[in-house]
This record gives sequence, structure tokens and C-alpha cells, in this order.
Amino acid sequence: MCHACLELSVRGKVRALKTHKLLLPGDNIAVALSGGSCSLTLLSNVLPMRKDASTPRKERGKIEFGLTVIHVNEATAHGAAAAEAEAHSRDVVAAARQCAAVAAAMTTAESGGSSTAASTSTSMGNASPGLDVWVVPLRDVFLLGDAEALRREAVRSWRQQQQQQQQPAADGTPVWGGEAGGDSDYVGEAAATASGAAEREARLQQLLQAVQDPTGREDLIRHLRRRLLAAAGAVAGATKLLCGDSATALAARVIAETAKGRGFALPSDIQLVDARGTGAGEPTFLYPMREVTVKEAVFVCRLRGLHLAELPAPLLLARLSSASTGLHSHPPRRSINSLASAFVDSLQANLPSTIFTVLRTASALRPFPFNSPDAMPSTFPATPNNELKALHGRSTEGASGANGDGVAVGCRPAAVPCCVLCRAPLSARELRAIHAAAASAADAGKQEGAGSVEVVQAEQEEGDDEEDAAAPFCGSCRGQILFRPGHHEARGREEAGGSGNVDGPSLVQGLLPEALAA
Amino acid sequence: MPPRLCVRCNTSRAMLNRPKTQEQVCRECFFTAFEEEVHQTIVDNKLFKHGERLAVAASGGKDSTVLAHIMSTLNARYNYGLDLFLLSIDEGITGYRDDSLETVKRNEQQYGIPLKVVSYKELYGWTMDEIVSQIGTKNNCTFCGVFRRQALDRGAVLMGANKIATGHNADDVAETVLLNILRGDVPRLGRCANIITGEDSSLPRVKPFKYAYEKEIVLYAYYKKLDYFSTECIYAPFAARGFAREFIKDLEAARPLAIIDVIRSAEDFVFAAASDEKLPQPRTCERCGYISSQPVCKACVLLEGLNRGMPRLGVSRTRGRRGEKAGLHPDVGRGGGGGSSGPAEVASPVEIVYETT
Repeated sequence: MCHACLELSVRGKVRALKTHKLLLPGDNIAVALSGGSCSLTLLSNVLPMRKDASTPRKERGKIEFGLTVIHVNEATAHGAAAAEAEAHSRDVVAAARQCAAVAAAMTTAESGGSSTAASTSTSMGNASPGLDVWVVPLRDVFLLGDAEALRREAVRSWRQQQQQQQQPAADGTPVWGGEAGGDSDYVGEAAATASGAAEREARLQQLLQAVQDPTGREDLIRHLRRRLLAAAGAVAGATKLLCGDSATALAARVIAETAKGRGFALPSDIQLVDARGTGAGEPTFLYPMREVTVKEAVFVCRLRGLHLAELPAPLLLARLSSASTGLHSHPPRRSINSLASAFVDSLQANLPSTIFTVLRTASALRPFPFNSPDAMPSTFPATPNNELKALHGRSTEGASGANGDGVAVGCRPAAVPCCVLCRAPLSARELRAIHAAAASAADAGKQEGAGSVEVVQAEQEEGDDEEDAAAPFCGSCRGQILFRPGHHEARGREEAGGSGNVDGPSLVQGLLPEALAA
Repeated sequence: MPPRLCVRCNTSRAMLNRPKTQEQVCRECFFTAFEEEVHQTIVDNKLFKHGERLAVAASGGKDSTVLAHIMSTLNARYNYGLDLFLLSIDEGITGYRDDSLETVKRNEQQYGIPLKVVSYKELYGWTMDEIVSQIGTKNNCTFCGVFRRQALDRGAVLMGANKIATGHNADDVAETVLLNILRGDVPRLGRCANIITGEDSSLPRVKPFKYAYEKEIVLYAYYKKLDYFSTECIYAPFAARGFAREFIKDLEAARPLAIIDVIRSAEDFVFAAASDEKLPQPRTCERCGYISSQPVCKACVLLEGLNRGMPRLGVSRTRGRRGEKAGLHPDVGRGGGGGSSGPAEVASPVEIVYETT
């Protein structure tokens, strides 16, 4: 395939959003950006679809929509130091800026009809597309449920970027440094926020350390990221959130989820549309890259000269494993996720149709009602606002936001009971187990004369397992994230038909952000 | 340091680490646990009814040897009321099957269960050795698999059995689930994790070891000092299944319960309604009368290919008219050897359809 055809095919797949009427004029969308090749490819294909607000005339193939770029920085969760995490954020922001500059240059080149190197370079230098990236550290999951605090963080992130932008650099990429020194006006505020951030970071580390299973830890990070993206998207006023999950990633996920016993919930995660959070005012998740392989994305980035901002994986792996050997007696085991993606990669290398065959098989599974485009709440007519208005003018938008929620409730499909942690739909078997446990917990409560679940919860240190089993977690989260001492043995016995007597209360459950574990 | 005690009985010294649960158990507790789990699987899934005649598919390998042992033990202990017999297939592979059949014959003595041997030679007129000499070692496993499946059915019918029990273990089932995902075979994916297949037919097959780990079966056979035959088939390098098997082993190392989880996932898969309709309805083969999804069963197609000297028939993917397998001669019946066919006919099965119709 030649360069042009590759570009066209990838662009066509992303632009299919518009043909499927998933991206409409007036929409306010958010793009999740990790800094990797897939999310950058996504961003670089979404940007040219956006109609420039400055020109009133209609442009072919362009629509007007609000755009926020959200980057969840999870570097510290992978064992990076704070400084490295900061550096990673700066890299991602720079990558996004560069991506915007390239996109703008390409648009000018296309519309001008001349694609000489000179015009490209000048437009790259001049065009300051003002693409802001909202960097959300993963520790902010502990702010979930507190939209106001999240918004404050957003404003802070935006201010920092403004300041950085005011320091022009020779090559167009802003120089980042002396961040703390830069915002002297906000010293007092910064100190307060810093202590809050440090506390949240400590909680995050504590939570992740408590998850012993490597697969469980990875999945927990993924679930937290997803929740944070959803919340950040909602705060930014976005009704749609575009994720860059590629076909390769999804195929590996199919295999990994199968190996985690999540066969029932599997189809919910691999569709184009995922509107399961809309009932709670969260944006709909869209996966426009689900038919693009990582290899294609890497080539697109390379062809467009986009700089990736990825975390150096080997370093992180080494740190993680050294951290876990210190804590636990057994040597670190490979995660099921990494095994599955290595497996898919090795098969794909021999048989290039593997990824799509796997996805086709998984597509034969019945998706959930919230995967249907009809499940998306119809967009309320928003003023053509950019991300700044969305951030600052939130109070005026409150009314329309509530209105939007009302619409969302109105057309919400029949509620599917989901795991409170990973939001996986619960299978009949899991629901039965939860109901049975809830019933017996209620019985136990009555016997103790307590009658209320809260009291039983307070007595968790007694190892009252019934209540724990009654919490609406899916079997997979229960096993790999809310791991308890002796759990696997107990589960083995359960599988064997014996009575699964779990020994202690979950350490992890108490450490989860309240908004999630509730 | 005092010897570590078994976590179950707390009296004997722990002898082994159970692969499935990582429990340190003594030998006796391992036996009990393993047997009880199989019993539980049988009871929970209502695999057997009182008074049924059960054919235990016995190859002489570890799975079927342990299966025969467990079935006769549990049948006596829990009074299943089953009439057991061993059913072996003699594929006619020198240096492999003849030796393993000796093992099965010893098992017959040891467990006091009658044995029936059905051979490819008597059913199809070909031994595997002859087939391999004809088609080489590339697609030979297709022949062997198809023929054995039917041979088991025929042997069971011959002996008046109501059910066949096979020694497929959890590793095998998980591996099949994965392979079907990788191949995109949705209909098979839907049924490969069923513990009973062909429930509606007169001869269902059951897998009592569906949740039993291969490692535990080996340990059981080892500690019970069971007499089994552990050589791999001389024609089977397990090429096609190798990578999936390797992955399952990796998964097991990462998380022992992952094998069970793969099976659970497959059980929980809910398919979009469309895939049910595409399932071919079971019918009987026009030639041999055994169950088949096509007008002519795969065994008959392969056999005709062998007899007419065009062994690629039925192996390569070709479709004939009216949904029939391409290249089938309309006049060829079961057992009626088509005999000599010219080399010109071997070239392309599709052309033959034009010639013959």
C-alpha cells in the first residue's frame, strides 16, 4: 500500500464517525490522548474535520464542533517518579501541539492547492491553533464525584499551559521548565493544591500496592483511567469522548478478557459506541480507531512526522517488578494482558488476518443495549463554544446540562446491572451470587438485631464475608483486584463445588475512591 | 523444620501442590478432592442416568486411563448404576496404537470392564499407515480425526451404548475455545464448551473431565501408579494446535485459574441471534446413515477420495453444486470402491463436477 492510500484508508475509517451520524454539527467532543501512535493518529484525523470557527463560510467535509483534548497521566501508577510524570505530560502536550500544527499545515496545503515544503513550514510556524490539552493525573480519581474540584484542576492545567505558551521557543515547540517558578501569582494556591495532590498520589500508590495480581493492577489502572476520562469529559461539557483503542488492542483484549472469565461482558467493550455512562451524565465513548491496526497508526504517525510521547515501557516494567518482589513472596508473574497481546502479535506476524478474524468472532457476540447508537442521548443544542467557554462558563451551562441529563434519562435503554468497579455488565450467574449473598447478609443482620447493611459493613474487620460478597462487583474484579488472602484457594474450592470460605476482608475495597466503591 | 501439613486434613504431610488451587495437600486428600470434583461435575450437569450403558473412549493415554479408573471408582462409590465398557479405536498406526492397545487390554483386566476394539481397517478398509503412505503427513490428522469420531459412534452403536464419555480435559476445552476464536468459527465456539454434545441425538457425548486440569490428571495417574501409555502419536506433531496450547500453558503459569476462566467465558458467551440460524441442521448421511451436517458425511467424502485416488477431496475447501461437496461421484456408494481414477481427474475437483453432471 502506498502512503496516500494508507492515509486515505485511515482517514476514511475515522471519518466514518460523521457518516454514521455519530459526530454532528454543534457537538462538543473530547479526545482521549495518551501520546501513543493510535491516539495521535486519531487526533490528527479528527482535527481536519473541524470547521475553523473564524471562517463563516462552509467548508466541504467540515463540521463545527467543540473539542477538548484530555490526557490522563498515569505515569506514576506505572512506577515513574513525579519528575518523569511531569516530563511525560509536557511531551504529550507538545505532541498534541505538533499534531495540531501538522493538521493545520495539511489543511492549508490542501485548500491552497500548493503543498510545497515552504508553505508547510511557514504555516507550521505561524499557525498557533491554540490546542489545549487538559492533563489529568490519575490520582485525581480521588476527586471523582466532586466536579467542582475537577474543574479547578482543569483551570489550573489550562493556566499552566497558557504560561508555557507565552515563552516562545525557536523551533515552535514551547520550552517547559521552572514550572513552579512560573506561576508566582498562584503560589499560595499552588501550595494548597500541591499538598492535596500529594495526598491523593499517596492514596493512589497505596491502592495500587494493595492489588497483588499484576493483571488486576493493570486492569484497575485502566478502569480508573476510564472513569476519570468520563468525569473529565463531563466537566468539559463533552457529550462524546473519542478513544484511540486500535484493532490490535481490541483483539488482544478479546483474548485477555476471555482468559479472565469475562465472556459475558466482553462484547460491551469492543463496539464502536459505548453509552453506558450517559445515564450519569457521562459522555458516550466512541472508538473510531477500532478498525485501524497499531501498525497502520505507527506508519501514519511516521509519515506525518508526528512525535510520539510514550512512556518507556521496559523501564516501567522493571520498576514494577522490583516493587512487587519487595512486597510479595512469589516472583512477579506476567500479566494476562501482556501475554494476550504478545500472543496476538505473534499470530498476526504469521497470519495478517488474525486481528480482524478475532474481532469478527467477538462481534458475533450480542452487544448490550448501551452499545447501540440509539442509546446515545440526543445532543442538546449547544452554543458553538470552545473548550475555554466550557471550562469557565459552566454556570451558565448548568441549565442546559440538566436539560441534557433529562434527555439522557429519557432515551436511556433498559438499565443493565454493571459491576461498580469496572462497569462490566453482570452475568446472570454473578447476579445470582450477589443476590444470594445479599439475602444471607440481610439474614445475618437481622439475627444480630442490626438489620442494616451499614452496620454489617462497620463490622468488616470481623471478616464478615457475606456482606462483601453482596457488593455488586463482577467475579473478575473480585478475583483479581479485590484480592483477599486465600481467595484463589477458596475460588478453586468454589469451582470444585465445595463451599468457598473466603478468609479475610478485602484490603483493596477500603482503598478505592469512594465514588467508585459506593 | 516440621514437615508441612496437608491443608485439608491437617494430619498427613503435604505431598504436592495442587495445580488448580495451589493448595498443599497430601496424597490421599488429593485423590479425594480430584474424585469429588469429577463427581460434582457429573452430578451438577446430570451427565448420566441410572441404568445407562456408557462407552468410555479409551486410547490408553493418560486422560482416558484416568477416566476409566475414575468412572469405575465413582460408579461403585456413588452407585450411578452405569453399565461401563471400554471402547478403543485401532487406527492402524504401527509403533503407536498397537502398543497403546496393549495398555488398554491390561486396563480391561485391572478394572474389570469389558473392552471393544473397532479398527479403521474393518470399518473403512484403510489403516492410518496406508492412508499416510497415500497422502503424506500433511493432512493425515484430518482423516484420522474424522474417522475416529465416526468410528467411536459406530463402535458404541454396535455395543448398544447410550452415551460416550471422552477424556477431554479443561486444557483441551480451553484450547479449543481459543482456536475457535482465532479461526472465527462462531458456531463451533458456541458449542465447544458444552459438557454434553449431541444432547438430542441417540448417542450424546459427555466430558466428565471438562473442569479437570491436565496437570492434575497426570499427577493422579502418577500417584495412583496407573498403567498408561505416554507416547505421542508418531504422525502428530500437533502443529495446528501447538501455539494455542502454548498460550494456555503461559496463562496457567500466570494465573492457574485462567483455564477455568476461559471455559467460563465460553459458557457465558451470548451470540447474536443470527448465528443460530446459520447452524446446519443435523441430518443423516445419504451413504452411511450416520449423523452428518451435510448430505454426505465428511467420513464418506474422505473415504471416496481415498478410494478414487484423489485424497485431496474433502481436505481442500471446495463447494460443489446444490451445497454438495465438490467432486463427489454421484454413483459411488459406501464401500463400493471407485477404484482406478486417472491422474487427470485428480487435478481439480471442480472440473470433475462438470464432467460427471
